[in-house]
Amino acid sequence: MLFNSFEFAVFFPIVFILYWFVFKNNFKVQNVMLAVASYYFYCCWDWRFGFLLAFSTALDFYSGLAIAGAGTKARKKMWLIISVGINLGFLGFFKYYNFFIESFAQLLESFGVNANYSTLNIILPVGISFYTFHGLSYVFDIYNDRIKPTTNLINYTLFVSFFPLLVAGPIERATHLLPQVEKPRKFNYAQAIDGMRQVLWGLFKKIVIADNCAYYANQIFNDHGDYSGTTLIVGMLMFTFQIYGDFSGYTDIALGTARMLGFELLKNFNYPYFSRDIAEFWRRWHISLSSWFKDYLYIPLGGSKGGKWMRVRNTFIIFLVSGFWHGSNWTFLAWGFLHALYFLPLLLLDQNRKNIDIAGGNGLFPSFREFVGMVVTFSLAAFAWIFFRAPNITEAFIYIGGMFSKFSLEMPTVWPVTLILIVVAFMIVEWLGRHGKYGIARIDNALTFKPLRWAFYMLVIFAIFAYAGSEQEFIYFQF
Amino acid sequence: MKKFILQLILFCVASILAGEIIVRAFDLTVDVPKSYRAESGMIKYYPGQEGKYAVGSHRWKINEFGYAGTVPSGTDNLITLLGDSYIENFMNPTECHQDAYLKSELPQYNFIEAGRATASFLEMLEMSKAYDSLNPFLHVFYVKNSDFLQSIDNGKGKKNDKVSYNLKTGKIQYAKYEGSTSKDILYNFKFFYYCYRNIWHTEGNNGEIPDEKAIDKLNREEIVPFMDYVKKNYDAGKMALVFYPESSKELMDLCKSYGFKVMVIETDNHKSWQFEHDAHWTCYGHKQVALQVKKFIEELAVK
Repeated sequence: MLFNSFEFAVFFPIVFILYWFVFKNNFKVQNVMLAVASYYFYCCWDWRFGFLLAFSTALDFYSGLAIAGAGTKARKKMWLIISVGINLGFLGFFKYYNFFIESFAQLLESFGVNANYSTLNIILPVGISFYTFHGLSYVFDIYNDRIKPTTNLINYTLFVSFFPLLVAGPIERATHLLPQVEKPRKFNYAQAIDGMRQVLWGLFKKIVIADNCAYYANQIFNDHGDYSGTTLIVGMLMFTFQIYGDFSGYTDIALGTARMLGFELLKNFNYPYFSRDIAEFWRRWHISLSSWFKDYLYIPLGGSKGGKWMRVRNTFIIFLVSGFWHGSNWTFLAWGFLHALYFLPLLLLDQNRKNIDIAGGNGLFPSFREFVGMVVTFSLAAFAWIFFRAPNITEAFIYIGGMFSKFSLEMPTVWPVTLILIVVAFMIVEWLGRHGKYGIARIDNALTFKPLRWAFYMLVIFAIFAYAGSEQEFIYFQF
Repeated sequence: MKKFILQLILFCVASILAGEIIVRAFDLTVDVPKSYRAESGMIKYYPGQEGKYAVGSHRWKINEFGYAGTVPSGTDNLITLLGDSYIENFMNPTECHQDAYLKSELPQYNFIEAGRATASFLEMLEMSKAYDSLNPFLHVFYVKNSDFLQSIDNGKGKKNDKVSYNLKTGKIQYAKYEGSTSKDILYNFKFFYYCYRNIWHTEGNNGEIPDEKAIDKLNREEIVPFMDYVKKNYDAGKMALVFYPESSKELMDLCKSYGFKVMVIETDNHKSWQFEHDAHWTCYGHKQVALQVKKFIEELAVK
């Protein structure tokens, strides 16, 4: 069940009505209802995956209790290792088994050893990387005495499987979401309106921006040999906006639906394409994953404490693991490696925390220096997306080669003017709204006259209807 | 909560009104002709209707016989062109129809079209009767494998929406007319229709040719009785079949053996004849088809 599907348009109002009208007097029953709805939502992809989710939930719930109840440090560690081992074992099996088998066989063949191997027909459970990381953060936090384990299985089940974040994040922390699950929620008019507005903006990003850009990105990437260098650049830019619209659009819908149910989820995007350097980009892109790796991998590895070379090593580890988290393909590793390379000069020159606030301050325009930084960072990120989008490393290099070797100043053969104008308008709205939680969060301040504000919403809705119909899956579901 | 619900309802009503105004002002939907079930059992459009296909591009007209298209000024040497949505051809302007292209190539003949989306071959045969009063000398049917399969009701699947030959009774059965209130609402409230078309009725599904490969081996126990029925009730001598690319050779041979004149449209790149999100032919595609049909008609005239 996709957020941009008719099924979800029926499912969510039913959940909303049951939640706020039927079960409003008892938050424990509300939690049970939300957990059941979340399992239904998840099982719509494949009911068998529900068992895996339930197993993972039970494992982390009881591991959490066992870690907290263990008398010695050694026993705590043992329970942690069991939990992490089984979680990563499942993730590794479903996501990386075939990749490792194939890669190992290819390695042997390169040494002249003829390897007989067989891969398994494994279906990747939707969202496994996300809920595994939810569970892992929970047991890590208990192990490190950051939180106490919950003794209520329903609450924990809802924390892991809450449908807005179940299949593509944001990757929540127990310290943030569990307390919200454990206390009653009251309907808040302003919060619900804000949630609806964020859902609307998310749908716009997904249906109007991402799905349309996807059409041209697919066309150009699939037959990149037929296109000129400038057209290949258009393809790269189309994917750059596709993935932003897709993933941040999904996140907006997730956060908006959760807000309508009285929950505040972690922010996952903060206008990454307005970043002035790569370090800032990574503080604004997929924030919940970056901070997860920072807290549970970078800092345990020594973080920034052990001198420059240890920071460099740890940074490369983080980016490579982050790349690999996205999928079992060398292209994701290359993407991560490239970003680590981008990051390196900033790290060596101690410039990685130079740009903390948002570009442009409170002004209408960025300074010239900021603008140059934004253009360079955007270009670097867009270039790296080629590896992310290409089916394999060879194709990525051929694509990049084509961009330069076939470059001329002629007009691209694929030049969707209307879409380009829509993307430009979208980026202007995002720029103007960059101080808000999402692009149009502060529209009340900009359009104080209600009919005007409603007219703007209607325009967005109309654009969504105009482009609906070519329903496409969210890219991050595969991770 | 009360305030939230009230605001939501108000916003929805305002949005529907605004949407209706925008859709009508900018002609964003396709006008759909209203249909009815004629006494003959055939589903036709009410004659004389007119409408727009899409954003201000072209208009369609329903002729006095209840089919899309125009009646030629003269009826000498009249050839009828019959088919499904490819011939109905709402998606292209009048000058991109088969009758227009063929008339420009073969001015000595007159052409008239009759098509209905999802029509089976048997329905096309029945359609040809509508023009009997004009006394055409040749009927040209644009057909594909599935048109034959859909003409036969073997009792296994529902064929309510097709004119078909019932194998058990040995009789023709007419398509069920599916007029409904929901359809009337959709056709009258253009914003709803616009949403319906964009969300549920995706363009990508239009004009798909189903089961084209499924007829590699003909089920002779079904097709032969059907063709016997056709031979008995229609004048195959006055009929020519234009098969779509990649049609079954066995089927074409069978049709020849029943006295039909047969040709197959040939192309190396059928995709280039079709719309981007729609398998129907573009103006270019229609012209390529017409050029091949022209040669076929010329050959028939020589014979």
